[in-house]
Amino acid sequence: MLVLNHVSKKFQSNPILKDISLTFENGVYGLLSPNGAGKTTLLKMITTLLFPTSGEILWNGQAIKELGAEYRGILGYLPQDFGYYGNYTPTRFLLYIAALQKMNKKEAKEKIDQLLELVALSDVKNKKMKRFSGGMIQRVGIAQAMLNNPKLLILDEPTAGLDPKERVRFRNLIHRLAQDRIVILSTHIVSDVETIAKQIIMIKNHHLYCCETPSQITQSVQGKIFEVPATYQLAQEQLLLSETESDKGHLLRIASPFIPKEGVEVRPSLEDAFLYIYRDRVAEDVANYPL
Amino acid sequence: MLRIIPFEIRKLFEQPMIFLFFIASLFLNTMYIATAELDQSYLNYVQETEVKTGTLITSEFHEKLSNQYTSRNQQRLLIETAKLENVFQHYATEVLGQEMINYFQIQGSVAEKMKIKYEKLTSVVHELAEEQAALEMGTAGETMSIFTFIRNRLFRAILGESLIFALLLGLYGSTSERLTKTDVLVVTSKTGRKTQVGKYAASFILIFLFYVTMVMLTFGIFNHMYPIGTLWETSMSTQFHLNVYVPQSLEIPFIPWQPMTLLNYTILSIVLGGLLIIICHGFNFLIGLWTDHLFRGFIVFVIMYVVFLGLEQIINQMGWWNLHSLLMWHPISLWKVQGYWFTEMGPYATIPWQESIAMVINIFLLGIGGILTSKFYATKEVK
Repeated sequence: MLVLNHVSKKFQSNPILKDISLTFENGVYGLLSPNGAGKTTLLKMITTLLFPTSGEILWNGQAIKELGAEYRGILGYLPQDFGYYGNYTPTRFLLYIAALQKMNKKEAKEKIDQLLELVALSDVKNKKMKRFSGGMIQRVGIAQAMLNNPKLLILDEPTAGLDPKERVRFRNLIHRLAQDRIVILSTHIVSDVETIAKQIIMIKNHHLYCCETPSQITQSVQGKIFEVPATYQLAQEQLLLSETESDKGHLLRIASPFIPKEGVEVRPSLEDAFLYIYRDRVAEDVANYPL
Repeated sequence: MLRIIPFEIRKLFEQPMIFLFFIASLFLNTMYIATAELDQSYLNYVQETEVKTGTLITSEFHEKLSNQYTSRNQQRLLIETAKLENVFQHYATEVLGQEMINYFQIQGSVAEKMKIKYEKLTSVVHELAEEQAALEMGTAGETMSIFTFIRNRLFRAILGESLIFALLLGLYGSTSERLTKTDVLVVTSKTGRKTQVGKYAASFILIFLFYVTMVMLTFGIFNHMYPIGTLWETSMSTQFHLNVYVPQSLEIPFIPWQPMTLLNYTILSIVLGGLLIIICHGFNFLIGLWTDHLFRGFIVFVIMYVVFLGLEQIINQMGWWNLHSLLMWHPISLWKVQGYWFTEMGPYATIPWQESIAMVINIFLLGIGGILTSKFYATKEVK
């Protein structure tokens, strides 16, 4: 079990995160916030790349700073900007990571073959990575994160560069893996976590905004989401979420504190909730307007 | 940790610049040797002659030499060895010390230390006198050029190249993961920040290999092009070989703190050079860890070097001898005075064997720097 106790982080005097408290158990946790909200900072603290300015992070009741190598041994991490050695083949790269993880050589070789099969890179396992596409590199990144069979898997924007098919494959894989481990997946793409996350964590204004199930989050905007014709003039209190094309023509999907004329209430999605939660100041009036 | 080192060595080996630097250095050294303009015919003649005459210049030597077949080389050798005597027989080191003090206008406590240093040189001079080191023939008039070439050009070139290599590899070794953005993977692995220990060892091994290979190849090429043979066994203190502080104005006998042959002197220089390389590599590796960037690290080194040179200039101008003598313990000074290593070192040392002691102290300081850096790096954030 991973516990964050009143964790705050400042860079010089700029607060990035304030008083974050979270508890993680096996399952997928989606860290869903816009860029710049502090997702990567939070993950970097969990992975010991950064240290909290105040508060503590505990793994099974012990501070991760004290656990050191023991903690890092159960950790798998795919950073947002995954670096690699262009001249290395995936096999050689993973062998190096295995050595860093102090894995048994024979076991590492077997595991590498399995993982390369899993991420569909077996046929290029002996080719230099400098010739790989972004998606292929990302798959190597995913493989290296899972190499030591981690109990805590941290994935920072893992689907960047993956095509839709790979994205779905990856999502299923993560869901499967999360049965007996904690997976924290940071993204700003709602569909990455919508169906697989046990809980969604949102950070807003440096604070923890929520840590709830996707349905609880969508519930929070129930009755506020409508579809209106494209000709509809938005009131100040209303927020445009998206534009869609349907059989009925061009439609606007809006958040509104009241039922708009010609508007049809629709079932909110997690994306609606996300856009609504991270609306700008003007749209904040919508939230405060009594239904 | 041991498992990481081969990976790290291989990573470094795969950098094309390393191979290019090695080839360029070897090429440069070969060019140095090829353009040395040492008189090989005279060298051969002296070596052939000494089989018959012996290596010591005595009256018997002159007699045997005069009976040799007359040639230009024989005439030259006769002239060069005429009226030579054992200069160390009645050599007063105190006078030499005073000469140094007067010449460089050394003042204060440093002058006192210099006097004591030159007093201590007396026992070595007695030893040299007994061994008749000054009368060793070497290659007579060519000895100076050959010895100076080996000591001040060839070895200096090898050492300079190795120090540049150590500087670059020290910085690169500790910052390479940052360049490839793999630092986060390394730090979050089970080995974690301790991976830098493996990187230190790997870059050190590579530098050691570079230095040893460069020494062997360069001296091998030199020996092949100029087979100096028994000259390696000639005393460094032969009177044909002088310690030049100021050309023509301050040239004194070459007096090391222990009598040694060219071979011994060269081996000892290679060993001490190795220590200097350890220091250069080590400190730059630490600079890399603190600055976290190859280029920033290099800038820090350049600034330190320039500040040091500027400081030295000011100190020399102002005649601040206490500061000057302190500055001489710095690794950059040790590199600069390489040509005087193991000798009394004139104004560049206040105690015997100062360069060797300074090197050990610098290694000790490197150790302290390493401990402090490991404490800093253990909690260094990777942003």
